[in-house]
Amino acid sequence: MKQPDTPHNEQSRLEALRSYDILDSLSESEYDDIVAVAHEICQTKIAVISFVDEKRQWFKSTIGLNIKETSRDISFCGHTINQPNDIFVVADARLDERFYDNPLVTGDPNIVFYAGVPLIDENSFALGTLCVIDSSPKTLSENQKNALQLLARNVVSLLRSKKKSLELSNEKTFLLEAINYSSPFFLMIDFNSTIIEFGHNYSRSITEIRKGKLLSDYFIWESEFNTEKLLASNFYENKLLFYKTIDGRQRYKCSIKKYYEDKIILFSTPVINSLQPIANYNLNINSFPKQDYIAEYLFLHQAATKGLEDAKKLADSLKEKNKLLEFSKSSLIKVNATLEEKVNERTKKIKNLALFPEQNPNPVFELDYEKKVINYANPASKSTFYINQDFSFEQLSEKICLTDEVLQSKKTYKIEIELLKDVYEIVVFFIKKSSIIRVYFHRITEIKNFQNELKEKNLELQDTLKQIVNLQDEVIKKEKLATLGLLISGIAHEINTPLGAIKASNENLIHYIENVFLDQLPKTSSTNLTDIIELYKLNKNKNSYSSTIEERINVKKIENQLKKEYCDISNPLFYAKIIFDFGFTDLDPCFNKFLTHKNNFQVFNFASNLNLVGKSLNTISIAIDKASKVVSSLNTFSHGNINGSLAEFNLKSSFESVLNILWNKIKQGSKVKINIPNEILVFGNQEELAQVWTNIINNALQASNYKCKIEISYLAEDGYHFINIKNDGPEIPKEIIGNIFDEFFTTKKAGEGTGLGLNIVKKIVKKNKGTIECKSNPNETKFIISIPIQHE
Amino acid sequence: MNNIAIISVDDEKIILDSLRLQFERNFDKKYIFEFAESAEEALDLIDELNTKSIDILLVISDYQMPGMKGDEFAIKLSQKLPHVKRILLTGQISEKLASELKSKNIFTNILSKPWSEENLINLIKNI
Repeated sequence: MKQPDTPHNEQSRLEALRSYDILDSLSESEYDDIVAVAHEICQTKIAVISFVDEKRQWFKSTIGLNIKETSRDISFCGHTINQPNDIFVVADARLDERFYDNPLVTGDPNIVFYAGVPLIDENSFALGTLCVIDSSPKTLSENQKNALQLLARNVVSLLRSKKKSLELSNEKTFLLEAINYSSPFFLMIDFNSTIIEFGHNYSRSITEIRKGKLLSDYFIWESEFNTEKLLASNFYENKLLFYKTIDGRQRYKCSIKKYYEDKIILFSTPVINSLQPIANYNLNINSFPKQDYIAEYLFLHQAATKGLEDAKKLADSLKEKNKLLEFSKSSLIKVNATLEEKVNERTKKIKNLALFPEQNPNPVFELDYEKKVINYANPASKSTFYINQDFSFEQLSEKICLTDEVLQSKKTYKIEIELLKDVYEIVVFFIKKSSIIRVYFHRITEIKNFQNELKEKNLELQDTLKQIVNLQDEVIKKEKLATLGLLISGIAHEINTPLGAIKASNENLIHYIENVFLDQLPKTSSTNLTDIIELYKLNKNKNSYSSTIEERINVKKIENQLKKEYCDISNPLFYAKIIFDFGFTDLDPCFNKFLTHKNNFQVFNFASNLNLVGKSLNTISIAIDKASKVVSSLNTFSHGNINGSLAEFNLKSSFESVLNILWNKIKQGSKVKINIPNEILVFGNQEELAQVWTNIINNALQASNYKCKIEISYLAEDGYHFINIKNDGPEIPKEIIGNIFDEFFTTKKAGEGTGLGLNIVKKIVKKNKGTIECKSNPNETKFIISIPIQHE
Repeated sequence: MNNIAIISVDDEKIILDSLRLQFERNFDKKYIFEFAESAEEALDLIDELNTKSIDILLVISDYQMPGMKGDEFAIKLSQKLPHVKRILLTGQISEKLASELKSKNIFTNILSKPWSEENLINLIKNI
């Protein structure tokens, strides 16, 4: 017996055979059908599909044969596969030296005839055979042979398609597994690690998990994990833990979150690398869902356990957090981008500076202790100074004031110098270790210019400010002139009236001297003169004045008394007037002697003329007082003190002066009462404050059509003089009281006021560090001015 | 004794006193000289003189006085006694007011203080 030879490519052939996964498989009808057809066509007892394994031949399908396999040594097919291109026929095994003693020939199934067609796959490996066998000698016609070969090819293609289908099926399984194992999922457990919920959108393998089972029925923690610890203190939150399936096939990483007081959620993600099959398929983890299903599940769970509203809230908060996260991320990216840009810019700049150091405008030198330049720390030093002929380095140490004294002290100093039309701030720094003087030039021309500009602007501003202050003073002065202008006719009247009296009295005096004394005196006898002087001495009225009404009444009375007692006297009115002028309101017996005098007219006339001299002089004196009072009031008003500067002044006098100025107006029907103690002194600008009094009083007079009562009262309180100017004139309407201190606000007719009055008043009071306010009601209107008592 | 009066009205007594001396000296007993310190007093006085059948030749009045002012007084006077001459003797009035008073014939003449005795006396004499 000859054993079949081993093919030269046996190893690869075996591998190819095994790849079909056909050995030891169950019977399949497709193969059985082919075998049946071969049996029918060739009219043999036996037909077989055999695969030649390493040591055996294994029958996939047989007809007329009850064994599944035989040893390869004794196989006919082992020979068949060694001539892959042909059909192998043994006409009578009993006569063939290769098989006559073969147990399959000598014993069951007693093979006599054998014809086999090798099963050649696409890679030319002979996997096995399709063969027909009989126990009596036989021949196959050409048609039978062809049919057998065709069937063999069918077996191979069947094999191939089966293999493909298997591959596809495996692939599908792997894919599904990959999906299953790589999808994140969550488990909800209670404090006993009992599973109360689980969720996984694509899970098939994990659906094995059952609620109520323990976590440890499925998984093993890689590190120690303790549910009680978590529930007590959130110990594991924000930590990443690992666990794996009990079979060790899959590893998960998971983050842990406490859910209410007694539940724990494990958010698990498979660790892909540990899953062999999936690694082969190069799955892209990013294509798998990540967070959504958790939100979805939590929503459903929440809805079921806590109600829809709570669930919505939870879902919203989750969404919100996700959004926030996305936003932070994008902000971070932006910030990073900006930072990067800045860094790039800066780097570029620095690089440029490094490339073109002459662009650095701030030179640095190094000198040795002999003051010789030994180094330019940057080329700018050279380009700025060296080339310029106006400047040599010999001058440098001089320019930067590097005296021997300084050199000895070796103290860093800073100076500012002008050099080549630029200003430099220079820092001289002694590096003692290496005996080097380093000189830093910092060009500050622009800064300097800017500073100078600033200084100029400042001066300009100060100037403007001064001008404004001056302007304000000017406005106050102008307003004062305007006020005075309005008052001037009254003032002129007040002066002209006494002037008129003075002039008239003066003319009277001249007349008396010329005509009365020079003319009458010589004609008067000395007796008469004695009587005249005696009569004149009866005059008891030298300075007082009585009113015209009193005069008329008393003169009439005396005249009547004269008529009664001296019925023969002529012109009693003449005597009555003189007697009244002498200060008598009744006919006094002392006049008897003179009335009965034989020259009574001459005596009375002369004595009366003497009296009139005194009277005229008295009139002049009164008139002068009146006029000088007005003038001195004017003084208070405009030259109270020469510089218009601040000084102490008597408050009452100041008001009296103002009333003198305004007298002409006041006397038309107003009464003014000053309730200010005599001794009150106020510190301020009298001239300006007099303007304030005038303005307020004048306003009151005008508003009441010159018929009102004005009362000026004073109070010292809280360190302030309070001056209250009150009048009973008409109320200031409520709608304008807020505006009365405004500029150009006036209720007066054009020409009566400037509209600046009360505005200036306020400015003046403010200038004197005081305040002014106005209150008005139908009964009274008052202005309250406060001025600090203390002054610097 | 003549029954013709000249009345002077001024709130300043020194003016009235001065006028009295000037009048008495210049006109002696030709006129009765009456004086009042306000327009109101003057009107009373005029009524009184009327009852005594004393004619009034002329009234000299100040302008700026407490109570009734000179112009108002002159108007009242002109309504009461149209023939009485009215002279204004004032310390200060504006030209505008002066020409207005004249053109409306409120005052026949205007003198300003301080006045000249000669002017005043001549003015009275020429009436």
